Amino acid sequence: MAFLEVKDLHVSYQRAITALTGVSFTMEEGQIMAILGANGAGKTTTLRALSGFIGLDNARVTKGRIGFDGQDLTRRPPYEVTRQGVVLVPERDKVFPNLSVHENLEVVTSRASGTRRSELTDLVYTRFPRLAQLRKREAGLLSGGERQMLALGSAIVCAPRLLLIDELSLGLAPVIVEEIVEHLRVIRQDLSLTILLVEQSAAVAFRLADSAVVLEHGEVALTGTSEALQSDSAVQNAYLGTGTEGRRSYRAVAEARRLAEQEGRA
Amino acid sequence: MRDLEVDAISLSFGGLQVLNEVSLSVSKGEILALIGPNGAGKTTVFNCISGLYRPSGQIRFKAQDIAGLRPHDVAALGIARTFQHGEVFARLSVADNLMAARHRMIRSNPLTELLGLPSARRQEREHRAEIARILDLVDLTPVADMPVTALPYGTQKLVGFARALALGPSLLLLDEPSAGLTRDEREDLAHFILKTRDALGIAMIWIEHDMQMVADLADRIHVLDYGRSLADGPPAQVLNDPDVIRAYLGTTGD
Amino acid sequence: MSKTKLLALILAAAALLALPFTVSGAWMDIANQILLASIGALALMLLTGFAGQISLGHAGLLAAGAFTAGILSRELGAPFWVGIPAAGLTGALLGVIFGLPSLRLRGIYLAVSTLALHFLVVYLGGEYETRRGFSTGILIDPPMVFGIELWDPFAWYPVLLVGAILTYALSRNLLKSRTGRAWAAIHDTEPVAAALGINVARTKLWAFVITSAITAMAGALFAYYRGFVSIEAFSLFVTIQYVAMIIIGGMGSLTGAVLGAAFVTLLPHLIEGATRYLPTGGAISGSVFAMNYAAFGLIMIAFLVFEPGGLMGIARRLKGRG
Repeated sequence: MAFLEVKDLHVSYQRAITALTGVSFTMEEGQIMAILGANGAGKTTTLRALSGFIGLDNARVTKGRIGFDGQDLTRRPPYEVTRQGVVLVPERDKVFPNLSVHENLEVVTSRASGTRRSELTDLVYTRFPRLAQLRKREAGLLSGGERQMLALGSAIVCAPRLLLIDELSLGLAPVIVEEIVEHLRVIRQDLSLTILLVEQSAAVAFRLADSAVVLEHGEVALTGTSEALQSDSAVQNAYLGTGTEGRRSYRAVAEARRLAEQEGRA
Repeated sequence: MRDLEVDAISLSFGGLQVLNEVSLSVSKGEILALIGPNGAGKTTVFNCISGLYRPSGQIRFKAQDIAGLRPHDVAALGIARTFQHGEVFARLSVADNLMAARHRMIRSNPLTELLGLPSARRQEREHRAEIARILDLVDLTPVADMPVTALPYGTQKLVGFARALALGPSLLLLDEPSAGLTRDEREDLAHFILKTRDALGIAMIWIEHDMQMVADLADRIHVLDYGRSLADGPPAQVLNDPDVIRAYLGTTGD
Repeated sequence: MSKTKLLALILAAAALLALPFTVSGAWMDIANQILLASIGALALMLLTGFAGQISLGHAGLLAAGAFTAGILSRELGAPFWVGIPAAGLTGALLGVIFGLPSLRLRGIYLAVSTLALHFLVVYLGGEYETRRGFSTGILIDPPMVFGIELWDPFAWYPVLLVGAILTYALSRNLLKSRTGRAWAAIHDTEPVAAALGINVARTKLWAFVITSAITAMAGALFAYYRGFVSIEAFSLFVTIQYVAMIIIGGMGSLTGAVLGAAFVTLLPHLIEGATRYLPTGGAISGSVFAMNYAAFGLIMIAFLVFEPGGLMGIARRLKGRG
């Protein structure tokens, strides 16, 4: 059985924005996988469904199953999911702005306790030396990059087995992203982590992940290894719109509609 | 003479530089697509143009410097915009959403309205006739009196588009009009964008992630990456630019 | 207008016209109180339920109107037709002052700033009372309206009924026009409203000015009706009652404001009636006031938790089912 198995996942929102209409994929332990796709394709929805946070978004899983290491995680509340070792680094509200860096690490409830927990906290400070320097700084005063490091740190203290990261690089400068990606690689080795990340930037995703799923309108459009996808013309289409073979041209459709309207009026 | 000229605007938030000397321009009847990865600063450019942020540098609209004007004054000059998530007025019907955008053109005041004086009623009638034409342009007439929240998301976003048109703009800023829309709704949108441009001859700046739409419909593309202008030119040229491919995919595509 | 709606309207009109011929003086007084409360509640509904601005200054504005009418009547012998518009002007002026903080503050901060103004008005009223030696309040003679002296509830009823209906009708006019749409727009989202050409600051100020003027006129009517003005009558509890009216009635509905006004005005009478039928009635009848407070709190919480749409929400659901 796969480490993570997402099967025919359907999600709908109360005020229907984008929903998932049958997303399936699997992950093996130790893998790093990226979810790619345009805005509104359902990337974040997928992560939030996995982590149970979806209940906070006025949405629910209407169909399908999420299996994690032999457990059924479908429709479980976030704290139970986290307790199983599936930990989300959300896109927004990722740190407690009024607590210090150290308090942020202390305040999380972890599967690990006692020495294991302090080992994990030490690991965070070793791998993100910047956070060690800023231990007493209020998290609300951190830069975007430091905030992302702290969010990753908080997640690590939870002793994750599967780390879910929603937008690793969003709003961060390239050098900072570079730094965080390097740290994350090392930590992944330390803890033999499995990582599933949502990335708007395909460039960042392909650098970190071994494989990816591409979502389109709430469905899986493509899956494959990073190398294969990177040179796939369909991915280039999705991200660059080049080579429109096999699709109707928007301009052609619009012009046909116009003609039909004019004839209708004449 | 360009309708709008954004001249080397820069903006930072708490030490984070979000825009770095961005320059772009658009002429009457032209569709300029503004693209770039998330966080590149596209919506920030819109917020600067529409007066929500105050960047350094100049923004000239019909030769007048508008940087630093308040949002409702910018709107009064004829710059209208849509919002990423539609942001329609949930308390109003479809028609009243459009009427709200005609606020600055309706000549009545709270006293004449309170008393329901004939002058206020006449204004109301005249502008209702005006918005009926816009509703017709984007096929929203059948739902004109529906509460806007009763409509599907795609239609709500179309209401946002029509509401911007109701302002009678000469420049339209479209913020990801296709996000969250189905393929069919996108085709409708493409149709309405071209139809609007041809019927009203207005300039448009259009933030878009659907690259096929951009390639099909834009006259020109401007690419932002980490708050900087990366490329500007016709679609075929920009989308094959190695720098642009690298920004999006991290490879040169070969 | 649908047939059922028209029928309901005719029935309501008939009931309102027949009322004075069928009830006792005590009940006529309660009906008048409901009408007075309706005017104040309509004003607060416009401000909070439509324009989305929070105010805890409602009792202060009622007081300002009542004192304007009281002082003009007592000091200058000004008639009713001068007192009411003068109260409106005072209210409009205070509306500008009450509204200014709204340009910078919102939510709880705005509420607190309007609360400060409430205390300012109450303080000034109290100062006037003690300096002039009216420590128990100002007496006002019954006003003359169209040659009729308004000295009992039955004479007042048509005047207050017309006042309430006018307030309702004019509010409706306003909501269906440019200003009302701008209120809905800033209530939903201010930046979007601004980007569409709506001057948010001016729109908010107008909301405060118009609703404060109406509220102050309601306060003046209250003073004339009671024949007596005292600052004691305008405690913070009055503000809370008005907030309760619009919540219980249903936010964003003019009819809701009227229903809420009726509910909150009737509540103490209902409780008093209920205690008479309780076996221990005699023992607790002395604490009706305290029970009113408690029932009031419970009902508010119940509405906020279970029916945020208020009485209008319940009505809409019943209609949807039928």
